[in-house]
Amino acid sequence: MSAGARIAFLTALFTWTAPVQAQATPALSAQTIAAAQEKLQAGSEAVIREGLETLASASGPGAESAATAVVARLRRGLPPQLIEEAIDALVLLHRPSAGPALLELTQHRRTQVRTKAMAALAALEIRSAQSALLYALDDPSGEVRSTAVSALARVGDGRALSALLTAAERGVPGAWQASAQLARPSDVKTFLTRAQNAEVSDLRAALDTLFARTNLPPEVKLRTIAWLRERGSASARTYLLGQLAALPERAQPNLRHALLKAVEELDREHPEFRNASAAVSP
Amino acid sequence: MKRTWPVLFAGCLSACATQSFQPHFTAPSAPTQPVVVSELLAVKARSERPVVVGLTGDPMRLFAWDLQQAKLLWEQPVQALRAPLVAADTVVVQEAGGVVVRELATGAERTRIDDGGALVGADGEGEHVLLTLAYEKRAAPGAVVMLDAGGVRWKQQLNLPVGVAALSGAYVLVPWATQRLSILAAGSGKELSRLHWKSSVIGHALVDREHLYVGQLGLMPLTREMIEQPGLKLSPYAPWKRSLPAQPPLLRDGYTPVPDPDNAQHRLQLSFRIHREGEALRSENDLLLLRFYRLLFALDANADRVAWVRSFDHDLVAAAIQPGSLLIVDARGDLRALDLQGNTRLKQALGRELRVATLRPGAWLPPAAAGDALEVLSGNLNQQLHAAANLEDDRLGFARAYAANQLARSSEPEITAQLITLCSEPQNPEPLRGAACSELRERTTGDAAVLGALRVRASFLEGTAAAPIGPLAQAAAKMQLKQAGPLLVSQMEDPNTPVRDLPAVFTALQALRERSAAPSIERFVRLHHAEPDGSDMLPALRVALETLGALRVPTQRATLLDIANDALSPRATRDAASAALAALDTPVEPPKQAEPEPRAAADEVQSDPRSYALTADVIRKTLTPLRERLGRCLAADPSTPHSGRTSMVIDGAGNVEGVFVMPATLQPCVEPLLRAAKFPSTRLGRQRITHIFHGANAKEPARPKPQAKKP
Repeated sequence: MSAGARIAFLTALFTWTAPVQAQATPALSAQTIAAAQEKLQAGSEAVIREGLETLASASGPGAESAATAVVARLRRGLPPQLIEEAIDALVLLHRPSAGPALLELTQHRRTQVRTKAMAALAALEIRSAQSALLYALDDPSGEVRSTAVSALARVGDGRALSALLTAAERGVPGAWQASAQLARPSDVKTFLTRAQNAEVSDLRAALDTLFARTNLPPEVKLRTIAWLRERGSASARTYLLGQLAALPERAQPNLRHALLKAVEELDREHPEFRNASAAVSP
Repeated sequence: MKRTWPVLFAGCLSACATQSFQPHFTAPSAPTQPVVVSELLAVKARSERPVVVGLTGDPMRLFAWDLQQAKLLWEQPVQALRAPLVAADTVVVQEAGGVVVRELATGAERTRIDDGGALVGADGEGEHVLLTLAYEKRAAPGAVVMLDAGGVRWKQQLNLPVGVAALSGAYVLVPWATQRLSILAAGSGKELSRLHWKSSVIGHALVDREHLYVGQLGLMPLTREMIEQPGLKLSPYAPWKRSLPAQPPLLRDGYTPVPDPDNAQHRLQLSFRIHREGEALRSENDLLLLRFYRLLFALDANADRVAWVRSFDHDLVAAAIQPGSLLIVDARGDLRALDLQGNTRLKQALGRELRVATLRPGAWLPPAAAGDALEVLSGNLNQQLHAAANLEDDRLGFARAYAANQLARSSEPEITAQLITLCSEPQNPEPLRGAACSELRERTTGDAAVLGALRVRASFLEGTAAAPIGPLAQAAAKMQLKQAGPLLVSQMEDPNTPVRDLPAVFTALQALRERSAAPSIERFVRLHHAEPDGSDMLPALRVALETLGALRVPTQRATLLDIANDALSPRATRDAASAALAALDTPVEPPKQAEPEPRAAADEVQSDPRSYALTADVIRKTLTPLRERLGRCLAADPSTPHSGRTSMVIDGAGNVEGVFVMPATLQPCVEPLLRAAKFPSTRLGRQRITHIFHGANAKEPARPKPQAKKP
């Protein structure tokens, strides 16, 4: 699979939703599933591929037995290409029972297999995958680390924050955003402290995530605005202005007031920011 | 001397039936002559001015420095094409305009030979200077030229190559065609005698103190017996032969011109001086010097042993060996006289940076040392070798590797730790890493260092690099370090461990009879056995299968059978699985002798009240209360495994940061139990520990086998 195709696949995994898939797929007969399961035992890659493709389209009660068959075949070991196709099938079948087999594959020697297994764990929302994903933050492959970060953002919890912040400081893409996603209200102060040395422009996605979260109390967002104000940089001002513009009229007046005040204070202290911003505006 | 020549030559010419020294392949009719032999062997000691002659950097200048008087004699600009030579009271340099002979005292040009010849060698006595020249693309590729105060006295050309010739009294010794030596009359150049040794290479003739020597791969004294019985099989003397970095020759090839001033040969060189006492030959001071840019190795001439090694701030461009003393000159222009222990006893600043230099100390000896050395070579040999191996200079890769090889000869445990570091550092040059890793594989001491290194886990987040797992595994196997087993399993499962190291890990687990590793190895072969032909995992896979068979864990039989019959696996993998099955089924022979007791790790000395790290006992004690519930997890698992294996990351305060359980089906049951555990705080900080727990269905009594390692 090419790098572009892999990225497309991973994107699809992270945005996949089971109900849509279930509605779109007609149910397979028990006989078809049994025939496909039989194909998995063949000594030919092509036949096994056919079986996987058939089983991947199973839905309803047949999906569980299809997943069980795919897991069993995975556990017996497959050539690398077929492992990836089996993972695809498990994601499409969306059965949590695939979790242990996928966890085992996070230890596969091939980077592509590890990457795909982690993305699948996230897509299937296997909560018990957190430890394996945290281990993967130390993986020698940047692609695996990056996938682990994205997966943690989906299935991790606050316990992953410390490692994610370290990953962010070491430049793993998406780690600031994943940290912002998982930070509990009491963690946000730590998040902001650790982000002190990062450019606000590099934190844009993470800050967007923080502001978009509905499970964070307003005080936390106000503290974030104060933190941006203290940065005293042109990029902080730009970000605050962007948030202000994105905030719906009459929504969260406290937040709007804090954003306005922060921008005004910055403009007073650093009029050059406003001038610079005006100079680049059309 | 000049006045004695006519008398000698008259005698020789009449008595020796001399043939002209024209190249031919038939031996002269009368090769030996008592008169010639007697006079030739009565070598007189030379009286030579002790000097350093050298070429400076840009702009290039030729200079001469008197060692005795510690003063500059002269300096003048030149366009030298080759390094300078010193012969009698002259300096001989190949320049753009030919081979120029200058007065040693003044630098004034005495003679110039511009016939296209390249300077091969120079020797001289008094006012006579003997040059050996080589010519490219000529029918006569070699020539010997005798000069006196008036210019060229005679010139003899050969249609075969000529080696470095020597002048001794009334005779000239000319090596030629690699196995021949002609004795010429110094006054006329006529050939008086010719010797042919089929058993030795002759590229150099030289006079040292009161002896004549010839040779190339070593030196042999010219004796009456040699001249009179040329058929004798003779072996030249050479210091102990050994493998050395860059493998410099004992003597420069006597048939090739002197290298150009910037040639690396001047900085990668062996120096030795032969010493004759009666019939006995040895190396002066029993030492051999190896210069490797800015490293100087003093080698025992009689054994493959380094006496000492010393590094300098600048490359060494010349060396000479005197009785009881060693002279070296560096590129900065510092001349040092070292004692035989490597300490500096005398230092003279020549006041100019050098490309190359030639030391001709003659009989001069540095003034006897009074008081302390000017520069002391500190540390014992191991410390010196360790320092040399760690010198950060990319040009020194092979010399640093040599230092590592020599260091490994010590069985001191701390050397193992040093080799681990040298083998691990990715920025170390490949020759050094290769040497250190090879030596590490063979270590039999330093078990604590090996275990410590195996505990280190490569971590992107913490910026720690992968330890050299392959060599460490082999060392652990050699030391029969049973404690290394679980650590090796952890490293095997870590994707940071390169695939190329896995065969060594499996082999070590086999050698350690680490049966608890079988489930992990089984998982590895199960996941990877269908790797296609050409995959870099196949060697590891083959050894993993062999190990599974050798460990004789019956529960692995099904997997091996499955692989042996799997049409998707390459033929070689299936065959390996079949062989493993056969090994598994072979009855065990009773051991012929008692097995060596696994060695315990060295006790750790601690001063802080906190433990340095989580030890096996501490882990066991912490997890003992959970044993029963962990066993219940095993019993409840559909595959009812006999044991489970967990890796945990514990922070410095003893909190569980992460839990990873194998088989993975146990994760939901085991993780909550282990997360609640609280370990003692440690000085080491974040650690990864491995713990194996057994269920009631285990064949052996449930017995935790915890191991701790630094993440």
